[in-house]
Amino acid sequence: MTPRVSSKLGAIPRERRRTLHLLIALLAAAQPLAAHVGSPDVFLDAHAGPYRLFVTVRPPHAIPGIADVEILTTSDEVREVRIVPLPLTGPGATFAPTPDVASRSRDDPRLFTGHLWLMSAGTWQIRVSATGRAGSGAVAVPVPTLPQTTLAMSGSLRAMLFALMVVLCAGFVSIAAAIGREARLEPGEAPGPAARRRGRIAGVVIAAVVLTVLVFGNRWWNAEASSYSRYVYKPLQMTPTLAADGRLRLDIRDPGWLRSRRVDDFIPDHDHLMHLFIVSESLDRFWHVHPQEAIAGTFEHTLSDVPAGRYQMFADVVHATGVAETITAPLDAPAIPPRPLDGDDSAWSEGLGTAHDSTTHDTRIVWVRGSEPLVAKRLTMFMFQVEDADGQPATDLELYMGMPGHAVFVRRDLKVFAHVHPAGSASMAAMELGQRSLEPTEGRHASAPHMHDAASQSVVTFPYGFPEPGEYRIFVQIKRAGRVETAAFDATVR
Amino acid sequence: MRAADASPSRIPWFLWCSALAVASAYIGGYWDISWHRSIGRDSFWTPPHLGIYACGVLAGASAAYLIFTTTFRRDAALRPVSVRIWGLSAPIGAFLAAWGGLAMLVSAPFDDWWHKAYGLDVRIISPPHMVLAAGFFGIEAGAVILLTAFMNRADARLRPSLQRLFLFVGGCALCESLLLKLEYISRSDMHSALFYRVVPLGTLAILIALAEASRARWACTTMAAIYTAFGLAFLWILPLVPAEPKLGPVYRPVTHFIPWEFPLLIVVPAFVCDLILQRTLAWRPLARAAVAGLAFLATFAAVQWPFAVFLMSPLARNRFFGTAYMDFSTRASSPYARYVFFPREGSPAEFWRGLMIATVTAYAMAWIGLHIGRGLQRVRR
Repeated sequence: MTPRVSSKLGAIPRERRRTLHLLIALLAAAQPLAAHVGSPDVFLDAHAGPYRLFVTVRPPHAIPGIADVEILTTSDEVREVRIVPLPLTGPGATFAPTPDVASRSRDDPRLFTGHLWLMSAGTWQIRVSATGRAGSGAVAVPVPTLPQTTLAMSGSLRAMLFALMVVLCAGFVSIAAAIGREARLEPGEAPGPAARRRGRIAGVVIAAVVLTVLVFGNRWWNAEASSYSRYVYKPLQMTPTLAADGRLRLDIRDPGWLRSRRVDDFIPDHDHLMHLFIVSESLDRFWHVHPQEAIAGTFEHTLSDVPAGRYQMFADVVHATGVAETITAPLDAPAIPPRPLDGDDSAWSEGLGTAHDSTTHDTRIVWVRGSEPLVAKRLTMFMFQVEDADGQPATDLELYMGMPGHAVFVRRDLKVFAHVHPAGSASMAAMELGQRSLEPTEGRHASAPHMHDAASQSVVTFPYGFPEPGEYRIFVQIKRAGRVETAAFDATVR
Repeated sequence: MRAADASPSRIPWFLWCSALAVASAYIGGYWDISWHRSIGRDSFWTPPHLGIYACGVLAGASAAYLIFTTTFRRDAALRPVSVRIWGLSAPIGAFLAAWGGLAMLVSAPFDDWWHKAYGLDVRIISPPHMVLAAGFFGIEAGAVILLTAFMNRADARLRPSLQRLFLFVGGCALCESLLLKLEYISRSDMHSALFYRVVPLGTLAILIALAEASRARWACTTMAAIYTAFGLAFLWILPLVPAEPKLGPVYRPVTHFIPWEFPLLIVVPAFVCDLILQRTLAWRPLARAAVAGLAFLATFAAVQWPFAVFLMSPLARNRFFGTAYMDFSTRASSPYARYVFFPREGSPAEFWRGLMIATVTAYAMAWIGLHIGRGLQRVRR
């Protein structure tokens, strides 16, 4: 495989090679859970005016919390990068706070970093403005702010705080006893039996008070923790009903989270209200279909050519508020007969091709990668070259649902799932909301992420970082000559 | 450094340190709240935080000095007026201040973990913040008891100076007790029973206890005047300092520091309390507390209720009364921004029940204050 990879790197345009090298060098720490499944960090490949920026946002674990932001430019001409957080939609999206100037890295002048406070659950945006010799421009990066499971206290911290609490309580009781025993004594006078008794009484009374405070303090803490646990993100739930003829109904239910969340406010995300991915447990079968909303909260679709077995579903939806969610559910399916696929729907099975290989006889998709091993929490540019039957770069790629390509990253245990586009890992609908909120202030300087790049190029690139080590499968989808092509690639991430 | 003197001819340095620590905590705390209302985002090293930490450093360092010199120096002049705790000797106030400093230290890792577990709480009342507040009050109580002991032992020449310093510390303690309650005492709360339950809680006990301990004729009025002076100074000075929000969502533009509101008219009930305390010296505490507590609540409601109406009017939306100042996160649709009162109670019955509780609270606080004050008058160490 290595010789083929090196030859393909040589065939890549110089700018893209440079980008690849820059991105491989960029580290990005990731945390579990978000609008995708188990993959919360946001990666964006966008143009801010004349500058191309690679933005990584690592949302905080708890909300309100601090997000880490990294911006890598491909241009040496960027003089200053400013970043500012604000809600993606609603009245809060109107007035931006004063932006922060991102710090330029001493080691790499094209790398800028910053830390921003994200204050409420839902979806925020980070506005990135770049200024330099070529002018200025801005881009809005949607960032899901979903409070995660409450952080447990480490054993050492618990022990230290407990010891300090004991010292504080014992100290307070001792001080109270000393006050009762000696406070009224004249200078130099030794405490007599009556004074000692007063001290003991004071000590006992204050000990009871301290104990009461501790009990009520503990209750208060529990109440606060319980209140926060209600605030912790709870994904929508989905119940599938599958008939023998392949008719699938998905009933979506809100288990209770934010009162503002609804199941009747989904907006189209690159042409569809729902992108449903169905994979077999061994990841040897893959469907990317688009159920229709029958009534609010209920979607329907007719499946095609599904062997009997157990599958996992990942349904991507976006609310009008910009909150993107991936709803998961298992699916036990009987054998479903084949029928023609509808519209943008696509399917893939192991027999149609192997990893690093083509999906059909006349299309070959090659993963162009360096020799470096894949490492968790590292932003990587995943580049795929599409070739024709003669092994030449394909020149007839088309946009597939408005995108040069789609990539789905799934870990073998199905605990990590991310649906990524060349523009990045944020949902396209949320990006459009962000750009729309940007335009009143930035005017013509606001520029959309390059989600509609010319599809005529033979290389499709996806910015992404694996959140955790493990065995992954990457499904890559492109459209060529009116036909959707899917290839699967295996990846071991350390 | 010379060992501390048990009966000095002038106010010793560590008493000044204690007073400065208490004032620093209040100024830092108030400024920090204004910081969050104007800029929003902060870090460990903001000026208000430095003011708060200065309290711990000043009080902790002077308390540690007193404890170590009194315990280990052979010629320690304060030893005869010290108490012994865990083998260490020092005046009670020094131990309390040291305890307060330790509580402040403990609150730091607790608060840090709390932020990671439950988010950055930009509010006043939370468990780790209460540990920090306990630290402040430990330091304040330490300063009060240290000053009280010196005042009770002082001769006629030094006593007036110590009394003035004591009342200054008392004024700061009054400010601090009200600062903790800001979430419940805004102008939009002033027509709710909750407001009249919250204001006397703790505050009236502190006011009466320190007034009794000081033995000063106009102690309550003086402490309330210090609270008013601080509040007005902040109200008129902070808006002169430029500040911009660095935190979203921003619902209104802010270009300068946003102070808290016009100070409560505590000075009026405090004056009434002074009159009652002066005229009821021979009464039993139960009766004194009943009269003082009820008079405090009644006069406070009598002045604050109509004043709240004025504060809601356009006449108060100027630099003097400052009701036009609102933080960047106040939505235009909120009752506060629309100058209307919060409906804290659901029904008139609930309101009157709340006022009954406020009456009992005021009485209980006055009684507790009188007892603590009487106890403080006897403190010698």
